[in-house]
Amino acid sequence: MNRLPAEFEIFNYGIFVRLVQKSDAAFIVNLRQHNKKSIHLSKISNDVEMQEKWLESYKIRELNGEEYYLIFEDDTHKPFGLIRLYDFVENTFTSGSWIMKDGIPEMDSFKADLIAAEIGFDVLKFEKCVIDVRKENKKVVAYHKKFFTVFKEDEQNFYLSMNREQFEKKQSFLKKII
Amino acid sequence: MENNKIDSNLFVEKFAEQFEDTSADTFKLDTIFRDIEEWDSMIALSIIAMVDETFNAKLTGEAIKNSKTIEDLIDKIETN
Repeated sequence: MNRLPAEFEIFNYGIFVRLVQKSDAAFIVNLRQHNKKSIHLSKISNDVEMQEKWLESYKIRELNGEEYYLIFEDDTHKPFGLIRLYDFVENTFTSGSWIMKDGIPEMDSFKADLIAAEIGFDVLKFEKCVIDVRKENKKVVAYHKKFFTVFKEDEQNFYLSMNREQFEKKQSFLKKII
Repeated sequence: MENNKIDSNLFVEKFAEQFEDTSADTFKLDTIFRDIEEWDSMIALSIIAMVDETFNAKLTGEAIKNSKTIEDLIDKIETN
């Protein structure tokens, strides 16, 4: 796999994406606390200092090429969302912690999701993406099932995977509508 | 698609079907869809898919972004 440089930033589909910084801690805490969809994500501390400490340890993992936490910004550099790429095992990566501010333009969520997948497949050169989605999060489950294959499920979650061919179908579909 | 005339009653019915927790009575042509509590990007995507599947027509994210009411969406599809 390739690595992302610390100063990584791209602008695509009208939005910016870069790696999170320690200074993003307050934004992250605020987003995770106040977004109505965050009930489907694991709980994090509501303490900005705790988040800063978590980001300090994340930055070491980032430096080692073990994990990338992406922050999405509009065309004025106002941050609106987060996606984390992690669990890099052989040719596979996990995409998770997908959370966007309420009230952003509808397609910005999908632009961010598409860019994250493009980074995973086209920049980092992984061959497969895996995700887990809470079953109760029905709309997100329906969205991912359009492109991913369910390979496991338990009482709480679906576990899905997407290979390059499926990713390219997703890319083609989303490019037509975003 | 040019001059794609949309059955507005059917459109409102199918639009309402994309919502799980909102009563179908809520939806009228002049409903401002962003004012509906349940509205989100996932529903926007399901509306796009519904327009494709039910009306064989195209609705883009940009058209949704530039619409306020359900009727605006129909206009955007018909003039696409």
